[in-house]
Amino acid sequence: MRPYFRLFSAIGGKVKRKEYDNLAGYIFIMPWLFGFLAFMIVPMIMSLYLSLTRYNVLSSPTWVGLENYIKIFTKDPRFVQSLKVTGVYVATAVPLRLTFALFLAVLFSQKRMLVGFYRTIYYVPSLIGGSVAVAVMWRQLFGVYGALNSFLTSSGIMESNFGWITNPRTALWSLIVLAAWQFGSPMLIFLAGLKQIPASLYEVAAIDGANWWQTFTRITIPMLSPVIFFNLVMQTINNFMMFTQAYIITEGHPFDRTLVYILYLFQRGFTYNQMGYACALAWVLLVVVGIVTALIFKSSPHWVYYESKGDL
Amino acid sequence: MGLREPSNLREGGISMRKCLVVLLLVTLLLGTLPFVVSAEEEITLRISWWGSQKRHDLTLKVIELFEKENPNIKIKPEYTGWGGYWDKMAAQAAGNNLADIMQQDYKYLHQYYQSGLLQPLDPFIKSGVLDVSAVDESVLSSGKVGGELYGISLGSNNYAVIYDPELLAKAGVPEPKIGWTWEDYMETARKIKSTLGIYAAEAMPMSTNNISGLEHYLRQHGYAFYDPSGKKLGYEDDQLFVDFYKMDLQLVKEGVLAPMDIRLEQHTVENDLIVSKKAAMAAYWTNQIVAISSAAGRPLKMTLFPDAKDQVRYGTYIKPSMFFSITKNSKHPEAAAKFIDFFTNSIEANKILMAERGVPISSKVREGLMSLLSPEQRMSFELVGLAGRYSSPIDPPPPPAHAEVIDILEDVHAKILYGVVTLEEGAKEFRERANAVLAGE
Repeated sequence: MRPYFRLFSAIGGKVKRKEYDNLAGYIFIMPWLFGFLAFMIVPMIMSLYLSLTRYNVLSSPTWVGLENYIKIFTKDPRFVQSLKVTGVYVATAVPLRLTFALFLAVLFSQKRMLVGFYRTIYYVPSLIGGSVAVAVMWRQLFGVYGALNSFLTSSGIMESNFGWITNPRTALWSLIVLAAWQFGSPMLIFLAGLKQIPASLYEVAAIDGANWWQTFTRITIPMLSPVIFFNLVMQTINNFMMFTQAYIITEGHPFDRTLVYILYLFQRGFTYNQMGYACALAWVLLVVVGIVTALIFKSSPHWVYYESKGDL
Repeated sequence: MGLREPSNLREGGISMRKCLVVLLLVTLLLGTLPFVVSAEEEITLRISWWGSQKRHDLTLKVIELFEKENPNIKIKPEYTGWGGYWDKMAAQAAGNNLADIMQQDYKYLHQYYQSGLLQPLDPFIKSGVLDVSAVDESVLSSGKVGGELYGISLGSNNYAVIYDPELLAKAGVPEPKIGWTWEDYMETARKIKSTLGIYAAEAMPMSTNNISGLEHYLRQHGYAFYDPSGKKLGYEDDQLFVDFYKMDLQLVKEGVLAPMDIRLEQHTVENDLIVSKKAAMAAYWTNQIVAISSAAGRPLKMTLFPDAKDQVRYGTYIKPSMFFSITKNSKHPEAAAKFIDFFTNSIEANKILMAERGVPISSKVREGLMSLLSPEQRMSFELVGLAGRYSSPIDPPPPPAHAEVIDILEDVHAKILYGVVTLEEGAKEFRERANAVLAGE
């Protein structure tokens, strides 16, 4: 410490102890700060600039002002379609995933044999769920010649094979089911939240003769609501940015029925070489996600219960 | 990676003198060589290409061989993968610093020509440095822009119908031959379905997620897929679109071709239906027969796409896999042309390259390699050779919006097969959406 101190006093003349501490702090976070500036702030500024240009990657970008944004909002039916698909996806996949997560968390919060083992097992899908390998497996499972069809036809439930991931009626659902299956991380957070609920509340309820359902809806849910709120916000943001699964499993087929927003953005940028347009799409998504998140926050006073309101 | 070691340099020094003697002798004897590379002048050429590690290794070996035969020319290779190659070229072009020889793609040839970055190769053909006597005119013309030659194709390809001869024999249908018609195709397909109970093929040849099937059909009837301007499609009447996709729709309804459900799942050569004997036919580029045969683990054969009864020309075209071009930054175009000639005509060089860039364009080289080929490679050599006679010249390179047009076609095709739109509505929707994208809206 000492030599540094001397160094700074030499540079800045009289450096007060506090300023010196701040400086040392900045130096300690320098690697992170550098990464943040170089890999977050600079690309973001570049992306904002590129969204105002026409840029085909091969030649240098040309300034077009708001043209990309105007085109997105006035004559791009695929933008509307991708927003619709993403909306349906988020609105179904998030509640499904959270329901599953909560259900299993309640189940695993009880003290039983092997409960730790099951917690681990059920967490595995979310560790690997976003990966390419699982997406490929999903394709095999739900494909025309996949395991699901083999089971359904051999057991006589269905007569012929069905393209679950390609048929317009079911394609998006194959992605939603995959999303619901990745309930691991909200499940862990729910588990932690459940442990925070004072046991005395349950004891009181038991003395008063409340049944399981009453206990669950009157004690567990309200006490857990801040955690539910947190999970809801995180999962909504995450699912707006879903890409890998759609890219590998359905590629937006059939006729854009599974064209989630990021997939469309990727297509514009990397398949059609319209990087400026893709950047503009990214900024529009930022605003959309911002609005949705704000709405969730706005709704929170009506259903989220904080025991220690105002104490902070 | 280690291109030259010190010992090689010394060897080079010895053979330089030898080679000079040979060169002088040849010049004296024949007296016809219009150009003698002066031995005092040491020329350094730069060559840039993209490719896989295998291509890098093979090309470096050929460069070594060329340097041995031409001791006064030193070659500096610059190679990368496809990703990043064109960014690098764009930067070099901006800095007036392009390599003497650059590997060129069909899609970019026009762009580079229009930007005045390339030198015409015709003078070197006239002076005899670049020998194209063993190359088909139709192959050569693919490298022409504005009537002048700006690229020498490094290999040829064309699309083909691939079939399983054993399954066809079992179904009791004759093997298709060059000159078969769309009617023959449909008849063959129906018979495969009715006798074997499997799909005839996944789709009409290259009709799904691919424009080549429709392009072939349009070309047969005298149209091109794109207008030469690249700003709109090459046809206005939707009838040909309707006719082509009607065959597909009809056969799907009959259960002869696979439904869209299955087609949308196919992503690779390895899971094509023909591989697992769920179909007896498929459509691929000639060089892919090697990959698909090995995936299937049994011998497959191939032939050209069907003719149309009323066709005005052959729909098939021979596609150059890539080119070598001499750039305007080259100070030694003559030496560069010499290298391209070596690459194109030297049987020794091509024995190293082994058609990695496609079927060699020189018929002499093709003959020279024949005995060394695997049966599948030989088949693709033969078919590309035959296609020289049963094809018409390739259309100009596709416009930048090509990738988007493919997606639109796929979109509309799916709508047709799922019954969301009729054939006529689909044809109209495709034309309108594609034209809008091509016009740059």
